Amino acid sequence: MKVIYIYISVVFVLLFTACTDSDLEPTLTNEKDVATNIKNLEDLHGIANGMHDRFTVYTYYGRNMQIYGEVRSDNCFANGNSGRFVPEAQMTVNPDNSNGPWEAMYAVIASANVIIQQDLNNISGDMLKLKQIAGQAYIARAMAHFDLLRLYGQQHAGGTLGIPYIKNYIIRDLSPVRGTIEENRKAIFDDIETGLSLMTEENNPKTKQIISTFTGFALKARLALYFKEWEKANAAAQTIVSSGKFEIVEAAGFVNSWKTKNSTNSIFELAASGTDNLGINGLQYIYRGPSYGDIEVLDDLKSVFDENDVRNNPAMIGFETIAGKQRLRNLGKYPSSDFSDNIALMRFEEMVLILAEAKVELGEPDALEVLNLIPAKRNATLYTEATKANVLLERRKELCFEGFRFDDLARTGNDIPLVDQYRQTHGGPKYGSYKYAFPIPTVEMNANSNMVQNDGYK
Amino acid sequence: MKFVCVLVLIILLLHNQHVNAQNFIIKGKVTNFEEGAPIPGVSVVVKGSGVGTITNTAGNYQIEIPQNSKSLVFSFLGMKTQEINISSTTINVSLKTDFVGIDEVVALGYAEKGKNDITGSSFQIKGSKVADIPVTSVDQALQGKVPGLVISAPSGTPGTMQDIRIRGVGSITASNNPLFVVDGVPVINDNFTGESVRSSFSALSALNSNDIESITVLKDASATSAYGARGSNGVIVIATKKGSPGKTKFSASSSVGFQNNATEGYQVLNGMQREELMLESVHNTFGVPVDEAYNFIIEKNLTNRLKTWVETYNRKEGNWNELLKNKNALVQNYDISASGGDAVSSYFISLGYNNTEATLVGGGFQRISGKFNFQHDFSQKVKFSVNMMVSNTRQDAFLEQSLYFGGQNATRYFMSPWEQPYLTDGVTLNTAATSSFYNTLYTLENDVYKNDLTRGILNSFIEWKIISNLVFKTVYANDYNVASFHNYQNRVHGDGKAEGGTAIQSVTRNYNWVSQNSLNYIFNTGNHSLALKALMEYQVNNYNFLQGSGEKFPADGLYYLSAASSNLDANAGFNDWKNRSYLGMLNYNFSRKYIADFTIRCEGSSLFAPENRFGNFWSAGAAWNISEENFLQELNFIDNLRLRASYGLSGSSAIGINQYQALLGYDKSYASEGAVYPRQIGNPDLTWEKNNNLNAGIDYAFFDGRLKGSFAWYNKKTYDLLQRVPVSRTIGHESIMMNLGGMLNKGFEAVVQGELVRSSDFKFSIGFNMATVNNEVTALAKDAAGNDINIEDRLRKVAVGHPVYGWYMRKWAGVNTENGNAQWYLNGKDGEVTENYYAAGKEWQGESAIPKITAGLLTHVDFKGFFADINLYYAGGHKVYEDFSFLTHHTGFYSFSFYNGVDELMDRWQKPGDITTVPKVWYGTRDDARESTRFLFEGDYVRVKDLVFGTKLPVKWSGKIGCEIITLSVRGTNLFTLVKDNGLKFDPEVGADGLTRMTTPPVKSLVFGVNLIF
Repeated sequence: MKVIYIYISVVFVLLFTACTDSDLEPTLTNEKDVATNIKNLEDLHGIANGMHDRFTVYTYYGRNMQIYGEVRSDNCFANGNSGRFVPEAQMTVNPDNSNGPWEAMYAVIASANVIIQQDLNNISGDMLKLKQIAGQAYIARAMAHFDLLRLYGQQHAGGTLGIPYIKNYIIRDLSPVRGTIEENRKAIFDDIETGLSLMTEENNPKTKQIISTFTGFALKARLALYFKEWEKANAAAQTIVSSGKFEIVEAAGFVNSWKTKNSTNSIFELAASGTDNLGINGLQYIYRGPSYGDIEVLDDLKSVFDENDVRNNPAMIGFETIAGKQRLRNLGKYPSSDFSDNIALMRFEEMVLILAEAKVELGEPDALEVLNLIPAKRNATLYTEATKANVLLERRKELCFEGFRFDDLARTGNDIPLVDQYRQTHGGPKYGSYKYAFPIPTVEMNANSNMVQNDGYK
Repeated sequence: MKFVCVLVLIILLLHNQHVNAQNFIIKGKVTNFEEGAPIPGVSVVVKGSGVGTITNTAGNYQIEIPQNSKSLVFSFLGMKTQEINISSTTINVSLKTDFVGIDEVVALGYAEKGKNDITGSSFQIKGSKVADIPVTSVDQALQGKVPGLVISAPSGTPGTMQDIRIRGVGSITASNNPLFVVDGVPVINDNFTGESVRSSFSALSALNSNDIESITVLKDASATSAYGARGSNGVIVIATKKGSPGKTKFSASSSVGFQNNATEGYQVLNGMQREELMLESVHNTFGVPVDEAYNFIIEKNLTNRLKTWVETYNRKEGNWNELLKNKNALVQNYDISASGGDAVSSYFISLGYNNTEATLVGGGFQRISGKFNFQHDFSQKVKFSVNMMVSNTRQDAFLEQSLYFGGQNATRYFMSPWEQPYLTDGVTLNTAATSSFYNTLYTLENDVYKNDLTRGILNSFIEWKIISNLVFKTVYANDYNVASFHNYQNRVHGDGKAEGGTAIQSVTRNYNWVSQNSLNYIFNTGNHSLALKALMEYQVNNYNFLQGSGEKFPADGLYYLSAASSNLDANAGFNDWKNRSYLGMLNYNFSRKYIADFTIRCEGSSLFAPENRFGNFWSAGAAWNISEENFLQELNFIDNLRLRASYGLSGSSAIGINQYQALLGYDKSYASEGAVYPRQIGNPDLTWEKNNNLNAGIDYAFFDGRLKGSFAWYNKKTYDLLQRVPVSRTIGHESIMMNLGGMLNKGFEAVVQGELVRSSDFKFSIGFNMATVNNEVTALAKDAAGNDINIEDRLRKVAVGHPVYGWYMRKWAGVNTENGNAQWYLNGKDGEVTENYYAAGKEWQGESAIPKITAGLLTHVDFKGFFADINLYYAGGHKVYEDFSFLTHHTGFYSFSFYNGVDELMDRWQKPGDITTVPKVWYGTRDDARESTRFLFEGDYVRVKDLVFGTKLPVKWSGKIGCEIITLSVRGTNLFTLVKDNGLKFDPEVGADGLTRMTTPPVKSLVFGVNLIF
């Protein structure tokens, strides 16, 4: 019997000693560890693709960014059909719901920082091409921070705070503070300069779907325009105009240019295809149709065009009959019903208009000539005077539905015009109202004790 | 490792040569004390050895006993066990009925223990109590029957998952669901639905309730720490039916009945009411007199909808609410089983079919299941058993997890009655509806949305009695789930129209296998009794999925992917988890008076980084059977009185797979190339959630079992909570998974069962059970400045010192009687009011979604062959929020133009001086019905869970058709519901988050059943 006890105890002991087993490794099939998996040019290129893809989410340039610029203005209104953009059209955004763009933009910044943090000497591949990708990352980081500043910064809401500028991917500082508007402006500008210094024109991508040197100049021009730095705006826009790589699209081809990818007037566009698109969450579905179709055009916008202006013809701005009711719609921009259009973010025409505005501000004599370059190709009557008001009017006509109007009104110190008291719901806030800035999202306020909320939303 | 074990056991085998030279043979007969009738199937065992037999149909037995045998133990379920010293070769015994239940055996999963040997709080229910309840998965039948177990149904669609909480809520981020164990083996209980927007699909619905022998709920550490890192939320142990020796017994049951929604819900506005509100809103907004409002709308082209309804449709009402209901949905359940056996083998087979229609048009659930259990003794020492359960379950998966234009239940509330479901011929469905909501009658007929699950559970073991007190058992179990999902949205009307028709088909294969090897040793000397168990378990889960999707179909009526012509896409993946554990259990008792219990489990899981993979979980328990003491022997009225207490550490690893790794994702694309992105921060320090569970209780039984029950008190401290700590979104991620934070759950449970009348013709008993939960968050993650990071959403907040996800929102201050505007308190509590929703502040509004008290009342009456049961369930001390109130109670044009609203809107404010709870109507959008206490209701309710009347036909009638027993019954489930807060019009039974949903409401049913045993 005693022998049995010994055997039993031996078994118990044996069963317990092997408490460190190695066949408990889980399998990874669709993911890989970050630390060890960026080794060559192809890997870095994949991350850059991921960074571009993050621009396309519907809370950012996939749809929302453009609509915010249109509905907080005198261009369009939200009809409430699916309830989308109603708070933004009212300019009473709830901090519980303002996190979409915030998260999307910082996601782009995170991807960009993964690239920027890499020691290019440890990655195999052509150094020029590696640097080109690093340059793209700087430009993307600048663009995303600029977009954050435009939406959430206090520059037009009577304050001095901007947004946190993030330069690292590995988490060092879990509670970043908001920089001042001036600090943000400088950091964005520095990133653009660094990006441009790393890229070369020879290594620019073959399509307009990836950031190029011209994207960098275009962003610099936009940034300078927003902050009224007319020399810089003039220089950057001039670089693009003088490059000879782009053309203003002709009137005859204007409508079709919106269905074409990589056309000559495009500087930077986001890729989409029949099999890789935002579907019902995209621009096509919010501008038209009975299910969403929340964005309709105000009569005021239609009334500023000349009769023959190609931008006003029924293929661009026209009526859609839904449930027996006529709705004035954007029919021409982002048109395809299979959602396969690329999303144009930067067009040559915008650069021409920036150049015109800079010249007007600087008092240069060829301002009128530059301003009339566009109406000439739109079957519109030419301007007789190069005034700020005319430049803004031409911007409104050319860039309508692309999300520029609110910023044009805000950066020029204007109130939001109330042109239709039934359809517009924001009540025409005055310049400097807290409503000109989105609230910092509640999720950010809760997770970051250093974050300061915008006035009016506390 | 395994090799060494085998080697040792071979050595033991070689030693197994102690054969007794001389054996005696004992014979006898076992009868029933009250009636003198013979009892077949009584277990006769030589005490302290494995030698035993059972009585035959005449009650006779014959047993060959080893030389040193001292006594024989006679036991049978429901009768008091007797031990007789061996003094002659003929021993006759008469057994008494056991009203007290001391000798009951409780199935704890890894072990079975006598009821008086348990030191913890486990509660067992017999399968017969839940078998006839017409639910699609057995967990739904447990509501109100087990103290401390709270089951709530987020949806009444058949086949959906339940939210199960045992003794409060222990986790913030990780799952709060308990572990399910079937026949001693942990199984998965996942949601196998094909699309997360649709009805959930419970793997548990693949089990036929009729195949279940017992369900035990393990609540405290002495029982749950045996499950180590998965036991922290409690364990539900299901034991399925096994064969029993004796002549083959057949059992057949069928129940047929019908179901409807358990509560009415809201009435929605009808067409005339909408018109009235719309005209009034135009008056309120634009100042136009009401009788000119109609023309004003047309003139200003505000909307076309009213004109169309009045002039084209002549004010014909679209009665969507009625058309979408499936009144008196049919529910059927059929089951047949057979069991039998002899001295060396026994078997159990069953076949079951269930068909449950949903209470909404276009839904349904079917299940076919079969079970085969076979046990065989190869010899006196080796026993073998195999158990197979295979079932196929199909479910129509509604679009119901949120508010969708294609959701059927949502359409009942939001489809305008001005829209016509049919064209003028009354037969053709109208697909030209102008509302964003689809004509779901059309989509239900022309779309496909099916979940299909085939589940096969195999459980087999070999038990080898190495020497008389040492048993080796090896178990191999297998749980194979194949879930397929098919969704087709038609090209003509609905979500698929824009793409020309869409289809998704997916197949998920989940293969889970377990191997357990254990040694059990029993040692008895004098008054000491020791039971030891050592067990090793290895479990692997492999999850494979494959999905294809496509759009644009060339013709109607083609539902499968091959016909899709564009946007073709495919996704596939695999993940796995593995678990290896070593378990030791020790149970000691001294002359059945003093009991001590120890468990230790060392467990490793693949869910954590290699440095943190293994953890130790343990428990210690003690019990004192006071009634066995000499000083209580004179007090005859005390049958059983015991004190017990336990304390231990359990864990929870219920987080998603691969959480600890910092990962790049590769599943996106840009411009037709792969796009790589940082998907997850990861955290190599991730480890188990831990739970220190203190439990103390008293079990009692007085007056020969006429008054019995138990009381228990528990205190559960969870710490190292797996928390998805929200991080500043500026780092490009939403959260890091960390072990921070703590929670406390404590409460009290009581069970009182009284048999008020016990005579041969009339029996009347009442059982009462209740449980309280006091939940509080004790610690949360802190940010860099040392402040707690609170988790907040639009309605709730998690903060230290409050219950988890306590209600936190603006406070409603009523309607301004002067101008009809909505008001809220500026500070969220009292004092000054404001009419600007966004200026009002949020505050804690009391309670959370966790009921503070749940209770059940179970009454049973037997009268001359008739029986009746009435069971009630109460849940209270919590609050429920009516989600989507912004749209259902909208005082702006969502209610009377775009969608629809509830008829409570007719109580709106109209002129100064009106005192009402509904603000004035407005032609535009209003914030009046946004989140605030206006829609936060007390959740207290009482429900009549079961109401059963039945009869056991007299033996002389049933005997005529060869049946032993025929039982006829009428059973009502959820027949009546009483809600405390009359503002709560939705069903008060909501999911564990306390929000009402757009899902199918819980159902009530009336079912007629016939049970035959022959």
